[in-house]
Amino acid sequence: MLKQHQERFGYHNKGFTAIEFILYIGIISFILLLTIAIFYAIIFYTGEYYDKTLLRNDTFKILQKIYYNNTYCSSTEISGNSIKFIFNDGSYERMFASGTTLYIENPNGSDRFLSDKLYLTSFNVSTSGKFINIYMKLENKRRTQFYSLTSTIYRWGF
Amino acid sequence: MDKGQFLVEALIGLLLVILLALSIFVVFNTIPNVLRYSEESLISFHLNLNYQNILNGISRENFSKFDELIENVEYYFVPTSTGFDIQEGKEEINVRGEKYYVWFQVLKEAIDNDPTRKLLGIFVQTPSFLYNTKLILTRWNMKVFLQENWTIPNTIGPLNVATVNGYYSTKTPNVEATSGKIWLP
Repeated sequence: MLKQHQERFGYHNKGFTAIEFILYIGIISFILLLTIAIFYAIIFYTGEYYDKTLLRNDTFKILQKIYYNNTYCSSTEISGNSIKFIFNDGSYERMFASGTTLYIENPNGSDRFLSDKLYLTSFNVSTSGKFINIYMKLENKRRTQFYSLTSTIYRWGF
Repeated sequence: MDKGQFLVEALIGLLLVILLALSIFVVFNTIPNVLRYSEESLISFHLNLNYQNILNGISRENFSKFDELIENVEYYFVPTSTGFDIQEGKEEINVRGEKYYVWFQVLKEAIDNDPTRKLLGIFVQTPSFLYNTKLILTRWNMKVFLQENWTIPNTIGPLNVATVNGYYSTKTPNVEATSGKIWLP
């Protein structure tokens, strides 16, 4: 019995049996599939993380600009999709939305203020009394992630 | 296969498995956590500065509103058409299914027994952390603060009426503001 079994399933010096070969192919396929799935997930999530980081950084940059300018400006002018910070020395910075991006304009000209890998889908400036509310929504190009928030500043107006 | 070759192959295999396990851990555990905390800190920064701006605005417009608040009680802002109302409780904000809370408290009603200087705390509760910022508010008039010709007033002095704007003056008890004379606080 044991001898029969050894003859059937045991190792043969001349090569593999069909069952050994199928088992080998099965194990290798499983390991390969697992590795490919893991690498695909790593590549996919790296892209997601990149978009998330980009969104976070650009949102932070815009918020910081709004809060910082508001602290140092002497007055503000607003319209539906733009806000202008006027400083004591006569210079100014105007943030305005055009198309799906945000621009910043100063006496030297205007320039893009948002990464070209992101969309600005909303930029609304409104007032309530002496306060200014800026609602903005940023999205990544694949439209899978977004940030939407309302920034409130006080109109100092010295 | 001799022993040495087997050991080397086993070692290399083990090393590869460890590297794979490490990369899986970093990609699916460490980086998501880092990004999560980073996102929470951004939202906390944003809510915190919104509250700072609103508090500064109310402090300048109507400082006496803070006199009505009770020490160590939680308050939050409710937007109205003309500004913000103060209500007791915490503001709940929903960000992608995660709940954030923001509120402020009067930590000290009078700094050095001076009720015109108050210590406030702004609190932001994220799903992972509680952020706390302290803010001192003073009953001051920024319009006067930035004037070029500002001098510390401690007496009634003659002023050229033509250069005086209405909001530089306040009524002071027992002081009669006669023509050409005005009391600066």
